[in-house]
Amino acid sequence: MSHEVWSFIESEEGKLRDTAGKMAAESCRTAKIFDGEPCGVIFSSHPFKVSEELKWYGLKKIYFFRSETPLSPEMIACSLHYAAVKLNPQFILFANTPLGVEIGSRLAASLQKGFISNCTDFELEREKPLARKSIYGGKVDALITWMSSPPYLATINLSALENVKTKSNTEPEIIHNEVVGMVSHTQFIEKWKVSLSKLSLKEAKIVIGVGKGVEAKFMQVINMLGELIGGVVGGTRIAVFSGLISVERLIGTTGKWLNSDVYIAIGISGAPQHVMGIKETKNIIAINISNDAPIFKYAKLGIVGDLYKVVPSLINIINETMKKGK
Amino acid sequence: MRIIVCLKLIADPNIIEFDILSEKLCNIYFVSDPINYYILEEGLRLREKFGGELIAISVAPEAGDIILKNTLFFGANRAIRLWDDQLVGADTWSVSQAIKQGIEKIGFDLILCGSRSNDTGSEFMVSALAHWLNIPSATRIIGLNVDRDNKLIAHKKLLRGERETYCLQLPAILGLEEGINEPRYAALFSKTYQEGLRKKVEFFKPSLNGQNINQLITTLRLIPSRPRVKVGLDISALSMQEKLKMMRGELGHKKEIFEGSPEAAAKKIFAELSEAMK
Amino acid sequence: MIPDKEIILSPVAVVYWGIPGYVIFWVLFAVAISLFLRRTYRLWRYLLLGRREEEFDNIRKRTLTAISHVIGQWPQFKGLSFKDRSGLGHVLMVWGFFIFVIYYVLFIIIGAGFSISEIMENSNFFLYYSWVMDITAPFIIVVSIWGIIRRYVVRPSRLKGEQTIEALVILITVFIHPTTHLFKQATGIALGLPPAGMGSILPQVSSALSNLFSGSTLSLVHKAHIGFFWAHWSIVLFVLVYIPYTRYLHIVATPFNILFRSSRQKGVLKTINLEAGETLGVSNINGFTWRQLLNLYSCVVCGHCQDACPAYATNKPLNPKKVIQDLKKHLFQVGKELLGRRVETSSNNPGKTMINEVITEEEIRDCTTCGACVENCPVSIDHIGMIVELRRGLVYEGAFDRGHKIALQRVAKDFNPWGIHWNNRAKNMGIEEAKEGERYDCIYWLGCVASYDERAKEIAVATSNILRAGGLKFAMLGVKEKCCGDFPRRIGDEGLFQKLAVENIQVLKRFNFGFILTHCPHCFNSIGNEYPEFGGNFRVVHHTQLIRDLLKERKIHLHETRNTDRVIYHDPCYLGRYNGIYKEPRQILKEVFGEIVEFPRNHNKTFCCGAGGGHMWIEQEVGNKISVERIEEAIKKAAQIVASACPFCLLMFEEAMQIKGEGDTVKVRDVSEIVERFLHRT
Repeated sequence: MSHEVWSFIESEEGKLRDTAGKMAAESCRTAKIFDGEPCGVIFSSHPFKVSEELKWYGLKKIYFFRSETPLSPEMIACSLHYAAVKLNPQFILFANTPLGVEIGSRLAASLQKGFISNCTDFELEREKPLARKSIYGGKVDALITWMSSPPYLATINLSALENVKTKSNTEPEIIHNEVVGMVSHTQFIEKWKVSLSKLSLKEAKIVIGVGKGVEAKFMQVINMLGELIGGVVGGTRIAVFSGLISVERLIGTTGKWLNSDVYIAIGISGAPQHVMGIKETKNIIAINISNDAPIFKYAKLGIVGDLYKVVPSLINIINETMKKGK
Repeated sequence: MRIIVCLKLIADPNIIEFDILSEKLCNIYFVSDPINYYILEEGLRLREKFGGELIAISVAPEAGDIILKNTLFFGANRAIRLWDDQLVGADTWSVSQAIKQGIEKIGFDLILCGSRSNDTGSEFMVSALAHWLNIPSATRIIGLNVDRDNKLIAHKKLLRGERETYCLQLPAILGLEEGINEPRYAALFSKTYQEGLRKKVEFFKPSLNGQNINQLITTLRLIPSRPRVKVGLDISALSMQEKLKMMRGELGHKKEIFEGSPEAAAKKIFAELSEAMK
Repeated sequence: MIPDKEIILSPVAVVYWGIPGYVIFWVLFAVAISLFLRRTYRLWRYLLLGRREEEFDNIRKRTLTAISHVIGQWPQFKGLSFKDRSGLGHVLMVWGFFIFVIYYVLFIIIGAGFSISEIMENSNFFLYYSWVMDITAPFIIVVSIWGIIRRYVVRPSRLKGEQTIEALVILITVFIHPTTHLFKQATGIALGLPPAGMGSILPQVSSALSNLFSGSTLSLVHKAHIGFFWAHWSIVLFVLVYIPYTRYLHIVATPFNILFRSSRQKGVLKTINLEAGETLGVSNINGFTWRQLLNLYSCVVCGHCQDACPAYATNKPLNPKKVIQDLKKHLFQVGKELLGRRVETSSNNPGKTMINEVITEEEIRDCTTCGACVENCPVSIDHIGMIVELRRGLVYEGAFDRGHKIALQRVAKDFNPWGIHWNNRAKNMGIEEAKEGERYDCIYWLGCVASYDERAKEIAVATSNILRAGGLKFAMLGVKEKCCGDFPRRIGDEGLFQKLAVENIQVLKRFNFGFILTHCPHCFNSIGNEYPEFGGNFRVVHHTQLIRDLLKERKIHLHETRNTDRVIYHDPCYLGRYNGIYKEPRQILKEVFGEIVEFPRNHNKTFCCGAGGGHMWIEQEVGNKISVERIEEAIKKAAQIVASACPFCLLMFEEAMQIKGEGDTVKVRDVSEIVERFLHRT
């Protein structure tokens, strides 16, 4: 077994995906724990130039697979299978993205090796590598080990990943490899984005909520803010009655329960029925004209002010920052 | 079209507790994995549209008979439970191998599973089955249809509202996400319920041996949950209290109420947003 | 005026174109009666299309009710109000009708028909009876004119759209009928026919009218007499035939409808024996029982139900009057075909489904089961019973409103409609959980609303403080409590209700307690009235009853100084109309505030808050204007506090205030919260 820690770095149409840097960093982090050699694995069906970016993570090698035909998880898993058999790395890590999971599972199935998905950390205990993952919805963590021989396969939980760069750059050795040709019965058609108006509240990372304090005429401005920050607009029951939002956008006990990263409550007093639906959000920002609105008890940042002035100001700041190039 | 839906019996994550003294899980009540309803609904929906047969299978001990009987009440044609006592505490590899035998015995055009289970969160089964059965697969599917040429159109869910559309050739296997549809409700003694009363849950014992019962991963022990300690944070500057808070994921939860000019307020919000988006 | 002693022949004794009068009399009668019987027989057979009905108990009580309703016309008196005095008109018409019917049977059918009228008419009885008729007839004339003017000129809202030809014909016959009678009598008196010449004082009206004929010749008066006789008799026969073809049918149907009406307590829905294979609900007209079909015959399109219905009042498609009429029309349309086919079960008959052909799903779902229609119906129609059967039929087919579907899924899984995990029921209430083996004064049944909704929790907290102050030993069931099943049953999911009932009863039986206390009228109704059928015979007390008792027995005391807020009390449908609890909440409030204000529609006429029948969860109807309609009445009365005794009413009114954007101008409080605020704690 070589002591290589392979980290699958995702690319798309010749460009690195945003998990790329994080996975490269992960490779180095894991290599440090297990005293291994950090390596990256990149597959591409487009011409690819290892960008400047990947030089800042401390990778020793990059295994580069160039394919003539469009790639599918089956193909990647197949090629990785041969590479793994030949080169016998210690770890093959993937990000817990759909792609990573599919490739990793197939690879584990073909190599007949243990596969641990959604790990948050690794540990070395009495010479054994351990993976830590959260189970039962976060109630408890399990320390899991592989009973099969290396390579140890795993996917890393996305919120555990960190884009940590090293202080100096090291040029990794780029090793070119062949992609094993095969017929794939899965055809990629297109990538698209669900429009903000159709995106479900549960999937949105940013949600803006409107309540009693918002007039129908102002909804245009609210929607503009939503477009700018990529936020989906929902609201309280009152907002539904007043026709500001449709009933699918209701947030509360009888509506949707959010688990977004950010919730901006605009003109919402914070009635219990509504608060029930926003308890799980990580950051709540509230704007309300009265300083004793119940919502302020739950907000991380509470703004006591006139929403009709604050929101346009916010839009201005965002626009200006975007012009400067965010 | 013959559709197989794979369902899972799990310990209810809402009730299960971790006893820190004995380091064991307690309050184990077995329930149907919430994702089962979505998988079943999708199967029923496809059967209604394209005709055929819907068969529900599950690798579960006797407690699983209830969820399989339930699928019959909802209108499934057949429900089959697979079990062998060797599967107690088995890992996902062994369970997948067992279910593979059931699938091969029945035959299929399409297999629907959950992307991941709500207990361990393992995402292995769909792609592993795809590899062993040599069929195309896609996981984390949030939308699904079959077009005229018997091709499967599946929409994969990525982060932040992004989607990828794939076209797969049947036979295939898919891992579905919660929220792909709205499950129906079959009331007690409604029409489909009465029809389901007449059917029985079948049982099939998979043949397990050293080949397929393979403990490839094992849980050593259970410990209290904590998120990853991020390197980007300069831990040395934090006090003991703060370090503990960080371990519990509670750091940075300082509440603030601001009263000032709209412009200053907007700046604060902007800063907060940028921070949260990182 | 005493005429010459000529022999004046009675109209039936006269010979017309060679045919004796009484032959014509009997032939006409036979024709009319056979038309009447033929049609009635057909309608009877339609009735038999319906399913069987089991109960026919308590014959004495039923008969008394029928007598008081039909002869005593009690519903009309009950429905009399300052604004709507038409009930009085109907009472007079009915009593007049009875008087006349007796007259026909005795003096026309028996008397004239068998040519013994001379003998009968020469009796004193005839004189006295003529007096009675004489007084009655003018009343009926006045009432019929009043009826015509009211319906066709005044056009009250209750009769909107009912300015029909049929009604006009009926009212005109009611007018012509006593008029021809009076003139017949008058001409008879002018001719010297009895009761004239009997030496006593003649009936005043007819004798006054007879003066009109004083100047005419005898033969002219005789001809007039014969004319009025036959006119009168024709009208009678016309009405006889008209009865089974129009709403007049209620004359025949209503007495039986009341006699056979269900003796099930108000608020208790009919149980279906699902395990034994009874079908869930109704999809076709012959799925109803014959008792329900009889309801359809009894309807007179009076519009009382329509006017009382909160859905109709807020412009929703549902109109209980229209539902009954649509069902009746449908029965008449398909009855013949169904008779020919002799079909039995409703599910084998896909071609003639009612839903969406006759009544839309939306109409069926608009009902809040408030019971106002049933309460106000003068002929004992059970609209709610039929609507619930239709809902059950929808559940059978798997057709749900999306909000209802989600609520039912949540109840099935987590035993509460909010979908919060059952393990989190009633957390942090500060109430002890019941232990087996211990004896409690009462088990406090929290119900889903107080167990999960933050606002409603305060009712439970307030009530438990009062209980503690009163020195009661009480406990709650905690996570062992499941939804009582009230709203699943109202939506039509009978199976889920029965399952919950059985499970709840099993849990309750494990504990030792004096009574079950609840603050929710729906739970009160379900557990108290519907659970006994499943083996759960518990004494259930509503918290207003208990608080009233505690105050009366001086177990709790109030502070001396209290606000002088203007408080208005809203009667919850399930507490008031269904269970007759009106006094207790008022007594409590009067003790706190001294006096209270009443809504315009109060006590058994209370106007629903809009949450019942599963409406709390319905999705289509966002913007529950029913609650807004009610809260506006409170605002008009300048109330500062709306007091309610139901957690659903509380939530609906608070929401209504938010919709109106009036904020805190009217506060909504539960009775227990009000008492707790002024509780004197030692």
